[in-house]
Amino acid sequence: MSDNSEFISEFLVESGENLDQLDQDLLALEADPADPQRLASVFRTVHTIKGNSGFFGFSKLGALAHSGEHLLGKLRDGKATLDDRVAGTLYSMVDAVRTILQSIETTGGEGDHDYRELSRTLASAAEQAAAAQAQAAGTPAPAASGSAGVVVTPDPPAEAPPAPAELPPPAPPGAVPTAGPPAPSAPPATVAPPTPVVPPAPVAASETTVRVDVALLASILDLVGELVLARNQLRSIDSDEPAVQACAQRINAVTSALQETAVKTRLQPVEHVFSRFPRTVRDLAVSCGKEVQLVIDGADTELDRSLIESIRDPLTHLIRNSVDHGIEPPDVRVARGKPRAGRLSLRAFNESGRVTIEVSDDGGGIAFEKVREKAIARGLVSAADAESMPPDRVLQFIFEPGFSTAAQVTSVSGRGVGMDVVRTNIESIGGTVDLQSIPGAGTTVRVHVPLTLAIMPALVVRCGSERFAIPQSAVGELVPLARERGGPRIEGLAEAPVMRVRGRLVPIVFLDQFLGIREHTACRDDGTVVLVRVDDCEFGLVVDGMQSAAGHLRCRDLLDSASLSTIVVKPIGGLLAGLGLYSGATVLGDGGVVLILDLRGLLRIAKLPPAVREPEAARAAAAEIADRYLVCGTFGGRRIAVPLADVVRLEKYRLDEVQAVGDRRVIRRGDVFTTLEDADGLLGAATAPAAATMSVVVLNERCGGFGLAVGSIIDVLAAESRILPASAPGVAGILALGGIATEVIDLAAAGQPS
Amino acid sequence: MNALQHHRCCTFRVGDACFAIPADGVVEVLRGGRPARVPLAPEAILGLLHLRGRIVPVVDPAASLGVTRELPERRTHLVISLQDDWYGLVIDEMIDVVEIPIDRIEQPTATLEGAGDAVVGVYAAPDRLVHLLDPQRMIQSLVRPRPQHLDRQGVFHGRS
Repeated sequence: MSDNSEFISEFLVESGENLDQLDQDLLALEADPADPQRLASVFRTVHTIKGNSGFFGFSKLGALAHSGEHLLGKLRDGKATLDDRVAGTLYSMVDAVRTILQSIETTGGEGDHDYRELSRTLASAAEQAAAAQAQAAGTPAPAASGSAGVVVTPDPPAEAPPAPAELPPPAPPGAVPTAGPPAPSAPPATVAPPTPVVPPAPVAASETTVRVDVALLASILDLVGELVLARNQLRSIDSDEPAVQACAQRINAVTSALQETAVKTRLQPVEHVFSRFPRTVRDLAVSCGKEVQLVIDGADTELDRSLIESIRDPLTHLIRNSVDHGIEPPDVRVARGKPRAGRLSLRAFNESGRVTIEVSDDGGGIAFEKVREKAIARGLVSAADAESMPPDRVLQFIFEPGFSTAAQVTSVSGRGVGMDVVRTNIESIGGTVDLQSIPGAGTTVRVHVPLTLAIMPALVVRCGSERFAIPQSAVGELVPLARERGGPRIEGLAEAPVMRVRGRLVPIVFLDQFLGIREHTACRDDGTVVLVRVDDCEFGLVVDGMQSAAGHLRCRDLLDSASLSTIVVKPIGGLLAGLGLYSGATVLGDGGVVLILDLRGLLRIAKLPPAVREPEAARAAAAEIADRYLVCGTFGGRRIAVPLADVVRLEKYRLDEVQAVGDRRVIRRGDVFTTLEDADGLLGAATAPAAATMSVVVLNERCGGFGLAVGSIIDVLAAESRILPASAPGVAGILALGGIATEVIDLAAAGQPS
Repeated sequence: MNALQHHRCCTFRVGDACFAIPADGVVEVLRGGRPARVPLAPEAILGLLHLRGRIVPVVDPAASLGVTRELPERRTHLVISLQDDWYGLVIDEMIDVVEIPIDRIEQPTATLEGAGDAVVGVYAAPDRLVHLLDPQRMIQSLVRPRPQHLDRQGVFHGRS
């Protein structure tokens, strides 16, 4: 029990408040017995208490709440009316629940009192009220079966309460939800009902947390934002007075800390979503006739509260998929040599500034062949193409709208509305979904979502007299356009400009022209192309340049470029939302208001040529790269070629920047050391005396990740001949490149540690 | 006609006409400030201002009120609150805060052609005719495509 103490105390706080609400709702119901919202609210409250008590193994509480829920279900479904007798019974149930909660709070157990009598009273009240209503209406009493519209049909009251033994409690290894953020079960954002007198039940547990209206937190954040601006202005004031300087510095530090703290108030542990899943899984497992063991990990991972709500439905869907489609029935599992109970694991963790939530099962995996067949049948891909597709590419069809391979439609899943909705929902909050499946061994779906939408790193660009922010998560790279020949430039007709980026043809949008900032674009030949990727589509936005903006947060210091700033996203209201071009606005350090570009909307409005939206086109372009080579000259004057696909980047170093470590030479870039290999040395030639500067071709990990030191970079050229075998050491072959026979360096051999 | 429940109104001048909106919806009167332009926004949206941590769209109410005027050089923004959003109306002059007796409010006549449904009543003050506005309708009419014949052609009658 002690393992769960944190959860239990949260449960007690929540239930205490729910009971107070319940009292109020019941009072209101007596005045207006037919109010459907009140009825639904009361039902939900009791249902939650029942679910939680089952989860923590409080069987008496569960049984009691269950009986109450049954009665309330009848009221909600209109099969019974709330009269004095029924109301009295419900009140005594609330009191009994409160007594049990108090007992749990003080002793950790439910106490010795027997509530079976009360349960029976509740059950008979349900029957009598239903019968009374039926009589009054002159119709026969409805059968005890649940009505069709109800998703969770309450079990007959005579049955035992839900056995919590079926599911182990989630094992939180040190995953203790701290006392920080308040529990969210009752949305306090809207009009909060006046809180009645001090809740009598769980005083001790509620001392560490306070529920605060979300609007109040938001206004604190706004005010902190104002303070940051004032701080920035203060910084720019020159003063020689030491006292003023010291004071300004102090204000500076406090403001930064205050902002970080204020931002944290928006974060909540994902536990708030996860906590409902044991129940969900249990219900699903029962209705699918499967045995499922749910393992939850990292429930204390924090996420913005607005995002927590947005991931609830997608995650529920993934869990449904896993239980219904993924995990096999127990006898099948035993036949396959697996444990009877399937394992469903739900993990949340922080990963490179984002939160990753992983839903994985040890079920049968996704049947590639079925997906392939279905994709062909639905005309998504031709049979020939499908045959040559790698399995992970085939799996992507799962995300197509209306795609389902379920052999039969069940009430749980298989209707073909699923993974596409999951993906759309996750992408709408700036997240991504990826999926791995091993036939026979299970499926893993990873959902990556940003920590918060309120604050994000963004690239601030200039375009004419305007500035715009582009979410950094979408930015792939920046390519400065060059006036001179040979540099990166924009090709194509005025209607459909494109740029070549390493073999890909990327459509281009001139931001100034697109937004009507200037009649004719001024940056066809200069300016910078920001390559962005939205969903499966890559395109380039041509802007005048970058804006170096004073970031608000300390973490700005971690960003490696001055143009990247952490911005506080603010809504721009309904008037401009209809444009679909801006997802919000932010206030920069200089006080200027800057719009945040909605790239997805921009993509839609720009109507970029559909051909390039095909992921196939990018794939074909990638294949094209394989035939392209980087041609360099060694210090010794030999002309060599390196497959472009293996080149990560090109760098220039002065000779004095090269450090000698033992018999190796290394260069340092930030925190990363790269080993240097001399091209002449690899070719077995004598190392020529290096010039004052050298070019370094940094190769990818596949080739050993070292830097190839060369004298000059000549060009990127396409192969004009088949590769001819060569016997010289370190040479993989000879190619005609640019009309000249060029030695292709044998990177595989060079990568071997000598 | 819900706007008529309010006695207390802020009166202001746009062009030659005088308007009133419920005082409890007014956040503040902001003088000066240069809004950031919003490319491709509807014509009536002049830009965005930053005010107390919020982003406030600055709108020119003239078109939806059937008034033609030159935008003033030095702007006065009447910042109003509608539901949870704030809007800055560019007005020519802030006049007063007045108590308008409900029984003196009359149905709007065609005093302002092209004012659309934003004007919900008129009140004859001793010195001028005051047009009572429903801020919600006025803001909505800014983004709604206007009928062609009303577009910026409104004839105004400041005093009838």
